[in-house]
Amino acid sequence: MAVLTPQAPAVAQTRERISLKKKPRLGESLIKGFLFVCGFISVFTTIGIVLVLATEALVFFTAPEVTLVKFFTDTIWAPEAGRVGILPLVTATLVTSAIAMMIALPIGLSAAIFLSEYASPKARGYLKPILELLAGIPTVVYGFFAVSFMTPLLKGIFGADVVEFYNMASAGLVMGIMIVPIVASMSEDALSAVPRGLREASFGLGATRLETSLKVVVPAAVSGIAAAVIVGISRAFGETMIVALAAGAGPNFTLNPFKAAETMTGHIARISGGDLSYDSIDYTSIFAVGLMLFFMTLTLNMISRWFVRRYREVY
Amino acid sequence: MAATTTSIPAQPIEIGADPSVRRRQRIAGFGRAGLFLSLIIAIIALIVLLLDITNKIGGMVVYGYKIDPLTIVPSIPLEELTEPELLQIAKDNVPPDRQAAMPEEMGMPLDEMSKDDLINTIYNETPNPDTLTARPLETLADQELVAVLDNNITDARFNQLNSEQPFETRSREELIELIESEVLLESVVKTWPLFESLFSRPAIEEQIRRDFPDSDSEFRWWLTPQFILNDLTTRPETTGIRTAILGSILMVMTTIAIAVPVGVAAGIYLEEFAGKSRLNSIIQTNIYNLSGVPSILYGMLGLAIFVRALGALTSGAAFGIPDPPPNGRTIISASLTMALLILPLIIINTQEAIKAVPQSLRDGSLALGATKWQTVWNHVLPVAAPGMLTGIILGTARAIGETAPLIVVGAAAYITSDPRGPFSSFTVLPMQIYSWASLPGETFRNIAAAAIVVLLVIVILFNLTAIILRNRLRKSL
Repeated sequence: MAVLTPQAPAVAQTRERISLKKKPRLGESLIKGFLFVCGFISVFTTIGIVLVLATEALVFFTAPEVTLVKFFTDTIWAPEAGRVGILPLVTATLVTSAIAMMIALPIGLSAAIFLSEYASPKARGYLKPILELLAGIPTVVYGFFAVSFMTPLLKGIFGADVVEFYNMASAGLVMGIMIVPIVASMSEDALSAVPRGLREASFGLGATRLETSLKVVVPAAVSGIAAAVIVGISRAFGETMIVALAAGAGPNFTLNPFKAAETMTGHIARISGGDLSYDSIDYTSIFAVGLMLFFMTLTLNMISRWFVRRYREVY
Repeated sequence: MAATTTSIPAQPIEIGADPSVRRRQRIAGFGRAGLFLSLIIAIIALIVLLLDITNKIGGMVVYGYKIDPLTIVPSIPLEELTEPELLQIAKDNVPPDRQAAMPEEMGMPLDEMSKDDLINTIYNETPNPDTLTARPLETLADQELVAVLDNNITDARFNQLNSEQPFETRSREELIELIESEVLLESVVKTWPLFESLFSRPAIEEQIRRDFPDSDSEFRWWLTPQFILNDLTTRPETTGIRTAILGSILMVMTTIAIAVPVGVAAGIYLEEFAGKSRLNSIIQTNIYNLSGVPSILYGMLGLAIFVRALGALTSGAAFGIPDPPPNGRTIISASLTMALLILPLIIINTQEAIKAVPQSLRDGSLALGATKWQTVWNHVLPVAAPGMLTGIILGTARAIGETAPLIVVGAAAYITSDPRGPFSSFTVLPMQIYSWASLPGETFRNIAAAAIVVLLVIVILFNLTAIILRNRLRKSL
């Protein structure tokens, strides 16, 4: 204090001369404005997607032969022939996604438990990059794998007369392999976030490592795991290349996984890949399908985000 | 917690004697093995996928000609041959039962016929009399080979080939190869997978001798330097992926040029400048939701906005580009669409990288009187750069491999001209793989697999770089 006291008046004098108010800086404001616009582009993208899908779908729904009731109840999708039931496309999407999740859920979750609870840090260092590489493989490669390996394999196992060349099972199984890394890495994050204390308490009570993992750690991370599973389902809904190559090239209302049936994404890809006239009902119809797909995945993603937020509140 | 609800049996346990302990440990052992197994299954799936692709990039093939070679080579008129030669040809080619019938029908056996009678008999009794004296390609002189080529392909193609490399300077083998591919339309009629070709080659060769006695066969790789450098053609034997590779490179570079500045700027805004306002939290939530939107829907956005509504701009017609494409299905439309697709990935990674920068750096800079932007530009960004680079590399890998939005936006399945700039029609590597994989025919599978190897090498290199970079970063922080 004694040292500072003589300087105190000097500070008081400076305060009179220099204003400490924030100076208006044009450059800074411009930069901040530019950064904000860039951040806002993402919102424009969402608005754009919704608007584009909605306006074109509106044209589709105002066509005389289309009604909402027919859209959700008719079982034949052939817009140029006036049959506009989206059910065949939706069931195919659901069947392929269900098959995919039957593969991805057990394998992905088990892999996550092994990585998080059993693997040594060194083993994890080797195993996780392999899963990441699996996640990085372009989906068109998986599509090729489905046609060139999985379909012949299924034909060999179940008989060539039972399994059609294009079939939902092949697409679903390969899609499951594709989703394993997604489920595994998200679940592993959730499991790793469970506090060590819980595990140690469980070990202290004499539980084995398996009992600790399945009865303590997994229940504690269940919301994170649920989020991972929902993201996986949403990926399965939106996956295009595998189903476009392997599942079939025509809408087909069936639940038999060995039959060919076109999914929503596969239909959009096939119709838009051909020569498309902007005035045709084919063009507007794919936007109606796209809108349906958008709402299905958006709902799933929101549920998943809700799960994650809930799980963050626990700790 | 579930742990508190799973109750341990209340009755007293004699340590070491409880039979359930051994059972529980056995179950735990099985459980561990099961968990490990599932990881192994995932790894096996990866290996099987890679092996399946490798299995198709090479192998034994049998060639067949669409056109009979004997019909295009010059042949010696029968009249110019001597009588013994004619007799030999007649004996070799007239069916034995007809030869036996000759004495009855013609009044004499072949041996006693005159030259004219022999010629008549040969013309009447053999299926292709003109090719009997045809000289096989291998026996022709270079000049004659060029003449064969000239007679059987269009003048334009002939001149084109000549200007690529003058015929005088080509070797015999090259000329014969040219005739086989240009005139005879030599094509692969049967293929065997790589591993089978390597390990049971004698059996395959035996089968070839039995089923295709007259055909050429060889072991060939489908992934060759020519495959990477050649034009796209409709024939799997000679097609290449240069156009697709150039299209991919141009499209991805444009995408990165658009997405990186915007994505990084958005990330900086959200981490450093955005307050806790409602608008900013909407932006943040929105970015997470966008990262979950199926990629094909971005394609539909691109189709409706960039291709259709802004068609005049994206086809380059509005900028006075000479000879613009008829619609907006161009590289720039694809790049804009792809940029929107990878934007969330880049923004989220940028945010993570900026979050990891210690607060003390900012405080120090601000305390020295730097403005907010000076602090960000001079101190935060250099430290966050490697982390942001990881996001950019991952985004690039995604853009290289993504196919679905490009189908919708209108990548061409077949195009012969290389892309010249952002306003040209284009195709990309994954698009070619898709169109080949969806075609029937073994050989299309082979070239699809070859293209996949090229794509995978590029994508895996990018991903590995990102993984290694991130692991280094984790250690250094």
